[in-house]
Amino acid sequence: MKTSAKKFDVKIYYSGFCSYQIDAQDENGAIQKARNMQLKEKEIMSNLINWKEADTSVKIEE
Amino acid sequence: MPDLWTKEKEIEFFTESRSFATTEKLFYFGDDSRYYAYWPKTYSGRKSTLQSRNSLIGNFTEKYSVDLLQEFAHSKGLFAVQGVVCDEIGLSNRSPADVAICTSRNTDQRVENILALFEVKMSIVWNWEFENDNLICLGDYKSHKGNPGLLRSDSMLKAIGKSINIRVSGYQASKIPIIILGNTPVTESYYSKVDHLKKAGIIQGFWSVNSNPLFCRSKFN
Repeated sequence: MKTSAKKFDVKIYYSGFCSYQIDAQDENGAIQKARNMQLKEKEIMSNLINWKEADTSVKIEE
Repeated sequence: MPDLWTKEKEIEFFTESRSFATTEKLFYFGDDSRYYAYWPKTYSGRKSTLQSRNSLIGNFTEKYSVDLLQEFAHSKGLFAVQGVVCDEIGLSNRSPADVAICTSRNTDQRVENILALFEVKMSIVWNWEFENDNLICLGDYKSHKGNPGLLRSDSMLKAIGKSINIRVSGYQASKIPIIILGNTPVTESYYSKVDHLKKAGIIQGFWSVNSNPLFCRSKFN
């Protein structure tokens, strides 16, 4: 028997990184500075890794 | 016995994948018109994005891990199985165990039939240039801008998170060892955390199957 398709709100999660060279007093300071810098879209897009455990799917009630 | 991870395995991955994936899906294309597995640290040109090869290398390294463990499993009358689902311990269809040692070949398993769990966190480790149908090794992981395998802190945290998720899903998982299989070293800042994870009974080992990650000479170049 054919069942009718339902609609789901799906979120697929990824993680990635941007690399920066930062002048700072220590490691924590360097990270704080880098967090305020512009995202490097191309770099981050090219090293994304799926985070399957975080993915969610919720049925949309119509 | 199957080989540990070597440069030849990476050549096998690219050769196999090229039969169904385009060069642009496997390599970055530089504005010097060269195809790279990773951007070399010396590269300063414009960087293109790569259509993700993650799912390809993920599947390849999981299959490789099954082959690596299968002989040992068979010697004990057991099976190495890829993609094991066991809802009782949080291994759902959405997030199965990469590889498990089980008493049968089935992917749907009851918890009592799972003897060990392996989470595979492997990547392309060396840098490669693809030129005229040949792969040239450009250097080890210190020579490129990628951060492969367990050198990525997010991969370490995902492995730790998945393991804790299994441990908190039910008491039945408490006796099943969890091993993280990588093909790179772990970064120094994680050494003590790895030891504490073992002492706390959460993860029984972070094993690298790459005994020479910094070795670059090859019969292929």
